[in-house]
Amino acid sequence: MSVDRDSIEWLVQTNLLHFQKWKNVEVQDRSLSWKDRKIKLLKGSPPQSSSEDNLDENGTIEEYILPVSLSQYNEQYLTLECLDEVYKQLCDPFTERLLLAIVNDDGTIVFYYIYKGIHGPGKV
Amino acid sequence: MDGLKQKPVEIKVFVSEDANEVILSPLIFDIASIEAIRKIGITGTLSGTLPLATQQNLFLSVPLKLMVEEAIWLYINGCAKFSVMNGPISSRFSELLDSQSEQLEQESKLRLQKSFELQKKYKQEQHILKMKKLGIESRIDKGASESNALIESSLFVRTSDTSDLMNHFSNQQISGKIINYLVANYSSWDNYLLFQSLREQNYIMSPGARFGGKYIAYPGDPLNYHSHMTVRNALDYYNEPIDMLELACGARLGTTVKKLWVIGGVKHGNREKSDRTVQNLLLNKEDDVSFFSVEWAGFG
Repeated sequence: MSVDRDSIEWLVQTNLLHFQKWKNVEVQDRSLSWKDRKIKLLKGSPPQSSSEDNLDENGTIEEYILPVSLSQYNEQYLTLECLDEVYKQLCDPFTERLLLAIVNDDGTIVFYYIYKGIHGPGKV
Repeated sequence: MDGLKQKPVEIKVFVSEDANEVILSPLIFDIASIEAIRKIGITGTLSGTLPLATQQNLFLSVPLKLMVEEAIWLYINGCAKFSVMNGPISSRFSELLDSQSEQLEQESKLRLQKSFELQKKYKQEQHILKMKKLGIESRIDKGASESNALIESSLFVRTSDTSDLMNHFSNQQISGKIINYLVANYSSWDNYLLFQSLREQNYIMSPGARFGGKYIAYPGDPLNYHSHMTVRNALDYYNEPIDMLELACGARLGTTVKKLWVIGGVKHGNREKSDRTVQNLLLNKEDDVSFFSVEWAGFG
């Protein structure tokens, strides 16, 4: 699938594939219209299994990735309601967490896991 | 909790006289009450100290300072009643001491006398019992002055935890009104609803400033567990965007201290803000709270 090279989806995909060494990172087809924007998730697998949360039958982990540009937050973009809709419409029903990719305009991307609901710290 | 419902604890709230504003957070002065509410997951913070011997917070004493949300939760669950103390307390105290000093002195003298008499009687009885056990016939009348002097030197003066003078200042008031003052001065309904939802999931909350949040949530008694989460002030579910820089700060700090950074908001539906009062809360628990927990992914 061809990806628009100006999009933050493409930036995040490239960063994950070539910098963080993730595998099979693809932009998902499903999209959600939200405040004049289209939200699309990516899906991919981290290089090593850091947790056993999302293991599928092949023993690999697949994470959903939500790309957000750092400048978008002050435009009423990512509200709690929006996150709930993302989980409802773009994820599988049993999805426990999203990987939030925050893209800055200097090329920095930082990654945070967002769990649905209350979640305590895992075993360390 | 049922015991508390029959005998609710007394939460004292200081209110300024003219403006009807709350001027201090809710306080509990009674040690038995403090013990009782700790058993149902309300810990508060001990705050009492002496002006000339300020202590580290492990050595602090009564009064117990409650978060506004803790006080409201106790009240809504029928475990507490509010009593209002009108300010300014310190000048009222000295007025009272000036006008009633003689009577107060008399009272305390009598109380001390009575306590000494009871202690003496008890100690003499114990002495006789002990002697009987050892097979020695008590000669209390012979060596009376000697043993009395010994007993005299071993009497205790009891220092009470709670001042009786406090009762001169409190009066009961309609609790709903007080809660509204408290919320207006110190918190918001949304924050309370987050607190309530977490408490229903058996988390125990304490003030969160240490980790940059509104609450810190513990999975059990804070003396037994490390906290699991830092909870942010409630967000407006529909209109308030999540600040990405704040998220990065909160989650990065949280992850280094093994906590998740939690954001939450209340789905009020179409309800007006003015509808969110205690009375409605008691009638209707429909408001749904939505939480998300954030942690650093470990890379990037």
